[in-house]
Amino acid sequence: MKRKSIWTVLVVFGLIFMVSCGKDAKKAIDEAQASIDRAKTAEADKYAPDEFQSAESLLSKARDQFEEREYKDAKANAISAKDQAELAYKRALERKGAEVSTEPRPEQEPSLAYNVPSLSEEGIAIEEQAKAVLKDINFDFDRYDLTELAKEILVKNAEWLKEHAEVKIIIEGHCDERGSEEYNLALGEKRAQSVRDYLVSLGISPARIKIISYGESMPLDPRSNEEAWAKNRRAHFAIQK
Amino acid sequence: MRKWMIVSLFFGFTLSSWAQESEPSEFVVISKAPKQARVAIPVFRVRAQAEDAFQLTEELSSLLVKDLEKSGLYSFIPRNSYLRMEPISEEIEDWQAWNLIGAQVLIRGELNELVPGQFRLTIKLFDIPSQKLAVGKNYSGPKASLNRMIHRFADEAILWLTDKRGPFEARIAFVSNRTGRKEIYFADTDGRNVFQLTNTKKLNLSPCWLSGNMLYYTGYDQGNPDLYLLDLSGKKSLISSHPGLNISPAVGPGGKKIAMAMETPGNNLDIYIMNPDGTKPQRVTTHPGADLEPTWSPDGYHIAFVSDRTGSPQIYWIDLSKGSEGEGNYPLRLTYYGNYNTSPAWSPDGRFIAYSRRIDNQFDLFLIDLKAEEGRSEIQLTNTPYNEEEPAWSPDSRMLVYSANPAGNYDIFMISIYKKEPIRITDWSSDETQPSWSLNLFEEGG
Repeated sequence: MKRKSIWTVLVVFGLIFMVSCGKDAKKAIDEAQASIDRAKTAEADKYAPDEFQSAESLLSKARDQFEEREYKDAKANAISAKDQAELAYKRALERKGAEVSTEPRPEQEPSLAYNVPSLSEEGIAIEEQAKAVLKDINFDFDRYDLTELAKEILVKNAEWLKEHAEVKIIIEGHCDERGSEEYNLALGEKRAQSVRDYLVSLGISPARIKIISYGESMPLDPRSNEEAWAKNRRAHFAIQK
Repeated sequence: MRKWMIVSLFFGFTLSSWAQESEPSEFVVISKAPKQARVAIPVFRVRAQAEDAFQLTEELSSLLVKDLEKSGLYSFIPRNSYLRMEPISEEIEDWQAWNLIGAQVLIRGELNELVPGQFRLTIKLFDIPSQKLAVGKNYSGPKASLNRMIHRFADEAILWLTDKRGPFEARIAFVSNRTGRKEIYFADTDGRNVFQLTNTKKLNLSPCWLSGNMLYYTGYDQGNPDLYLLDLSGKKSLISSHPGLNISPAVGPGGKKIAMAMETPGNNLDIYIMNPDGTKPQRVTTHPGADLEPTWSPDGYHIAFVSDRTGSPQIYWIDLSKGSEGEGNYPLRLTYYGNYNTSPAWSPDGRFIAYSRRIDNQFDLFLIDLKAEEGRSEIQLTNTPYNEEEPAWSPDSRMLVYSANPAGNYDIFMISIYKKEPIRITDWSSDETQPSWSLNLFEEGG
């Protein structure tokens, strides 16, 4: 009697377990399907085709696995399918939004986050974007070599420059007010050159870069203290018109 | 740990401030005047209708006193010790009265208004020991030229005393950011009659006179630091616009050649010499370090300059007669103390190279004496808690003009090598820097 009951209990548990697994898997598959449907209505198959197709094939796999009673795998794939579908939905909306603003909107402010193809607005948009994205880098006193932080900033600046291959820049070299006027012109020039050389090593074409030194003559902060001086020892990015 | 630090800082501070108080002077006399004369200058006589004529003559007399005192060659005897102001008669001076107060030279002047607005200024210099008229001049012109007449006579008085003309009938060019942007200005040697030369609202730097009325400077008109030649009538010519820096213009003796710093392709700043119109540039330095701020020797065969080839800016010179830097022609280093030595200025008589050294974040002026007996020796000219920078010589090599910031902002100052009292030339609240002293206008025929 005891052995039979243990087995019964085990079988019952097993069945319950299987059924609940199956239920979870079913639930995951249903949810994945819902997300895919939602993505479809947002035209994700058109605007985020890679993500959408990936979601669909994952769901298809999950369904097959469910039929084979491979509930765990089915659930895992269904969850992945749902994530992909949601990603497809999000990206589709972004890209669709960009296309919609193609129509000229003369009464509205030029859209800054998207590439507005209309001619006069684009130039302003790029410059505004550049100003926000291309950060100044700073130098140590009397030095023109790049600090680790400077290199990190330049790597990010270079990424933006690669995404906007039509943009040409001017790198300005600046110094703090200490030191002689003439030698500071030379130091500012070296700072601009350091930055240019590093950008070129990151793959930016030298033809896109001009440099100029302003020495100590155009401080960002006119005060005479360490804080101001540190800000003034910089290379600044400007856009060639 | 902290307490100990505070206590020692406190002691250190009190000790150093005590030490500073016992510091002799912030400026030193570079050289003893070979000749000095005690001069009496009574107020000039005036024969004019204008209401302000008397005040005008007082000002003119006082301007002459100031020029002669500044030079360090004359020492003015105050008028309250004169036994008599007037001569005995038109032709006869009371020589004894002047002797008694220790005067060696007497200067008398008279201002006449010929027609309203046109003046004649007559000035006479008497040598008291020999009781003779030594220099007599008549100048005429409109009111605006009266100051210049005084400066011219001061130069004559110095010429008579030392056989070398004084530097006061000249112009001082400088950079000022008074308008918010650095522009080029010039003024008389006493700081009066300031005139704004550029108005590009961009950056304008490093004026250097070619003659009494033409100067070179670096301007960013075209968005790049280019070298221009500007004439006081306003005519501007582009001299050098190589990509990158075109800076540090320096005019060679006789205005035959100029030197400047430009970028050699490969982006290394080098000294070049060329014709005054910018043609035929020849490279002088070849080292990959930055070479700039050239200054010429009076014989035109040497250039002293700044180079950071050892890592920090130091002053070197090179022999041009051997061609450009290369095999057998290496620049010789002149400065070995301090880690930041810039702005060399070679005196027109070849005796000194003045420069500016940064010590603990603060600049002082130094001179290298090239004729010193023990070989080259150095003199620290200034030792103040503020900055003295960018020295430039007067055409007679006896005075320096420089920029300093005792009041916080930079102004132009002047000092004689025979004295230790600096004289303030500008007093705007903005920064005035990079002065350049023109050649003597009289000698130029201008």
